[in-house]
Amino acid sequence: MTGALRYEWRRISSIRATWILAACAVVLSGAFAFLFGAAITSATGSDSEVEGLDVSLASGVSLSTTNLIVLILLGTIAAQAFGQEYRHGTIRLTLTEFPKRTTVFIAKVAVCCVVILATFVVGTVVAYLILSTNPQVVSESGSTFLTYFLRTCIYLVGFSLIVFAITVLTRILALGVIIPLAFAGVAETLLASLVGNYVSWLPDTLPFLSGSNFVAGNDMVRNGLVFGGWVAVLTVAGYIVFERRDA
Amino acid sequence: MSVEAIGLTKVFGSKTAVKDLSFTLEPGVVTGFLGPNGSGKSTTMRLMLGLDRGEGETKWEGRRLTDHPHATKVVGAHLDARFFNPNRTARAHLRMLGAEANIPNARVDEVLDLVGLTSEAKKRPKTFSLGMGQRLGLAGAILANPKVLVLDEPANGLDPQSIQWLRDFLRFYASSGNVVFVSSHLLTEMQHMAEHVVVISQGALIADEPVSAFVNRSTQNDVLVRTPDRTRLATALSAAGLIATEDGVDGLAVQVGDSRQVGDIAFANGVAVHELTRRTASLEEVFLELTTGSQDYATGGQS
Repeated sequence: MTGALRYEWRRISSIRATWILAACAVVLSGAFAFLFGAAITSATGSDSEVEGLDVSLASGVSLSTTNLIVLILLGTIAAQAFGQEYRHGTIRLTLTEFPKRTTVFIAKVAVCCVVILATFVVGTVVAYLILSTNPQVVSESGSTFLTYFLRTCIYLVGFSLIVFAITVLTRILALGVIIPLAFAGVAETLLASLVGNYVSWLPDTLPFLSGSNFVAGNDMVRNGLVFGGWVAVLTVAGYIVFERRDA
Repeated sequence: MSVEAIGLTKVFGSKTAVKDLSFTLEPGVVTGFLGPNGSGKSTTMRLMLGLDRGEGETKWEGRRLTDHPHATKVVGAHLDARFFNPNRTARAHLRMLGAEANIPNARVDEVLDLVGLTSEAKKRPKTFSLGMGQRLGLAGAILANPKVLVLDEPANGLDPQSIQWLRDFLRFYASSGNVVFVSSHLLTEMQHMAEHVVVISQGALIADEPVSAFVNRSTQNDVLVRTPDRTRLATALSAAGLIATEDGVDGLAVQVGDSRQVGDIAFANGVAVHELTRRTASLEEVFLELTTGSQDYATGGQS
């Protein structure tokens, strides 16, 4: 496994796109935090704290869970893990070196998730520092923010696993990014608003709405289970296909 | 190390691409893998490496590849000259491939030098020619000094000098006690390179034998004898039960394996002989003779 992890790290770190995507994600996290703060100042016209606007909420607006652009960037890093390998045929080199496909799957998921989380941590620190200096954002205890941050990390890992799975299932890098984002950003919202009135249970079963509610701290157990269930089903499906299909 | 392919079979939909294929690759010799387009050569190689899922198995020194702790020490494969990320430098590509076996950077540079890509080491291969891609692929295959090389059409796109280098290199690699299994459409080149051939057609085995034995299968093998008294010699050969046909102005083509027999008959009958030559079909001629009509993608004039 050590060799596979080393291999995957060299794969991901030797591609310029990885660093460009990571840097863009960090810069945009900071930029959105700054713009959000500036927008609040402009809207309220005062320097006093806005009730209910704590750092978690402000970070949530400016960071991954609700910031589609950052999610696209981090999702692309995840999609590249399998997508680029299939696109350029290097998956055959990889699987010749590591005939046990489970090892490759685990190594890719592990290394990519670490890179994505590391990027997210840096982006969060940047955004947090910017937002915490804004006089209108209410300060909160470190533990409150840490809880919110950990939930976001869990969501991000789950989102990345869904991207991995869809990329493996379709073998197309672009679809690995587009399908989850289309569902997270558009399809689920439409489904919930259009069909939700007639099928009341439907919104509660949608993966990304449940994931967002989990991050927001709403009915965390149920939403966490729904989101986790989707992640598990898709990941297992992706793994089985990766294991059984011709490379 | 020997490599044993046992009952390899692969079905794509309604088409059986590889049919119950079994053969053994021995160390110390270059084994050529021949077959018409679409005959299943590449699929067979992928099955051997576990890249395609099918029936049968391949034993690498008696064990499946998944049972070896370090597959990179067992087999190095080069299946396509375009299997690289165009945005990763040649050196980084090899460093990545060397990660499993913890190959030092010095070895990466050594291999780049060996295949003549030192000056291109820091370049991204998106600008590489087919020949340069072949060299990079070969560099990746030999990086960990594996005991088996599996190469699919490695000479495609190479210039004559590079092909000669490849031939010498593969013979040297095999002579070090390694297994070299190489497919190629360049049959003339293969005749110089390989000592043993595995030939398939429409996914089924046609031959698994030394090149010399394969060439001897040809009906075009004969003995040419030139004589000023062709009629008399033809009568004598016919009396001895040999089939002789006229060849040129003063020659006879005799369907016999041993030229000495023809010489003895001529001597016994007092016929002067000006030339006595055993003519052996080329690998290409035998290959065409045995596989004509079995191409999946034959042109109108060939099928």
